[in-house]
Amino acid sequence: MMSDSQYKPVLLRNRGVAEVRKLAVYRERGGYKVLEKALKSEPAAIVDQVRQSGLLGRGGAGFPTGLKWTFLPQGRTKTYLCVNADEAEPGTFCNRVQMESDPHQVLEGIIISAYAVRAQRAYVYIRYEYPQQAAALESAIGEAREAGLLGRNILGSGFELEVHLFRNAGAYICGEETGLLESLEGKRPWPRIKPPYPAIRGLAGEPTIINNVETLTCVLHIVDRGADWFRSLGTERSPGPKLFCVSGHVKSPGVFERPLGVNLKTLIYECAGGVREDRSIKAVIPGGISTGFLTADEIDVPMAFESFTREKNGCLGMGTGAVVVLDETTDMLKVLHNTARFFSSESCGQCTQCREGTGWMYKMARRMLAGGGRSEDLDIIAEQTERMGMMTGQSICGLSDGASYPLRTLVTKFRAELEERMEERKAKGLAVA
Amino acid sequence: MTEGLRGRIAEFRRQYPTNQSALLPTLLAVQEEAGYVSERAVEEVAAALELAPATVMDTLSFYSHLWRGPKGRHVVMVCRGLSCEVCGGEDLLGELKRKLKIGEHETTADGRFTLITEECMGACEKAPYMLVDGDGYGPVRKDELDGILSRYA
Repeated sequence: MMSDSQYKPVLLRNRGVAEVRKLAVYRERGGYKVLEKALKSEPAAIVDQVRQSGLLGRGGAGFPTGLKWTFLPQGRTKTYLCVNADEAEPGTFCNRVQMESDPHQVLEGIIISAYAVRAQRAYVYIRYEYPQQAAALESAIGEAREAGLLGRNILGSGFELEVHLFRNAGAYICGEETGLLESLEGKRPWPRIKPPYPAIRGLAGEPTIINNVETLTCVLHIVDRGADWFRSLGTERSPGPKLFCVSGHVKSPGVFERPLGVNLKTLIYECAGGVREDRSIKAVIPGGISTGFLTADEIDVPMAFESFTREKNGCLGMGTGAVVVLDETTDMLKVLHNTARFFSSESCGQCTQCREGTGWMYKMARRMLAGGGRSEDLDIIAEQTERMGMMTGQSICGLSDGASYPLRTLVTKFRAELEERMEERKAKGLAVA
Repeated sequence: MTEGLRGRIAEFRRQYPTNQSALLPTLLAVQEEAGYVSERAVEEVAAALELAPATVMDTLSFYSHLWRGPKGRHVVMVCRGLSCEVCGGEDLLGELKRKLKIGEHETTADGRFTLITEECMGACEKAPYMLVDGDGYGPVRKDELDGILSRYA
């Protein structure tokens, strides 16, 4: 395997190139050549290539993209492609950087993928807090339509596609793929009971594929360079390049493209320049807040989907690969409070144990912060996470699992500090909420 | 309902698979024009999309950026995600409250600013981060606030 610093970015190859947001500049750099190539092959051949590449969805769940595409029924007359740009997992901002720095590359990946799954319509579902990125993508869509890269008979291939941008009006749960569909249908985004999966019954009851922005950009490069190239990067079970976000207490936060399997310490100390003021690390979130917290002793780990499990390190998974670094000065009780607040305010309210459970835990976190915390509250949180999110099949969607892992890892791995912080606050005589 | 809005609704209906699919884009368009979605607008949107007003309300009431009452001319949205919180987000919010003399989800007496907080806004490398209307700022130092706010009349 090549060393990490030798890796040349693919997904971010145009970042920082002047005016690459303009179609002419993007094309000068080889843009839309891969689309030309794709349109000359059979859609089924591209699906097969994506399956062979081993591409796992980049939105957090890591589901095999090619396999998802093969769930589409044969002989269907209508297919929708929904592009999930509702990036809202705390710590995650790589899709934002892709859309603002290189919107045409994002769009080219979408058009190729739509062709592969035979979709005639694609909807890009983008979060409300990304207005500048929505404008960049909207302008790219307009330019592409003018140039015959969208619409009827794209590049003379007979393939027809329209891409529309759909703005979320503010809700984390819309990132869950069936919540996204409900939202696109104009409803409150309550996730659907599965099966049926969207590939069978999705948007307006029609077969629908939902993929993350980064996933579809990977598809572009798989079609360009082949499945073997893709598998030559990363680990056996987690192939390909990945965009890693690093933020929190680091010197140079940002998005870094590396092959999967890169060590978490490399991301923190080499890519992001190390911890601010050269302090030591107290805790790290490996892949967005839902994945849970690692201690400083657990960060010598390859960033791959197989590295993060309940058994190995108490984590839910690699998630979005969004790393948040917390240094030794961090007050972990405030971190617990922030985490509990997030899930309580974003639970959609559909399943009782998630709605009530996240609410209770936030209430306890508030009381702890106000000086009224008790040691047994930590036991209650640990027990609650076990019942709410760690028994599979309890809830309609994964939000309660996402709430359980970070809260559970906080109370189990940082218990001594949490007790100490509660005592401190009690001693200060803060009012009991 | 203005002619321009009717035209946009017709366009949304062409773009989306069902009439209700056009609801969120329509509500955002109403809000762009009027600042918020009034009770009267709910009735009008329902009629235009052939939906029950209760259906419109059900959707409208869920999303955090749909407003059912007047807000300030400019919305200051401060991120309260974990990366922002540990990089000075709370101080930034506190300073904004002091400067604007309002709390969260309140509007200044002159109707110029409404202050809100939002969960992780996806700009963690710019922590602490905030959006004023459509413009992102970060990392924001407290001494830059006057300069930023003065751009919004």
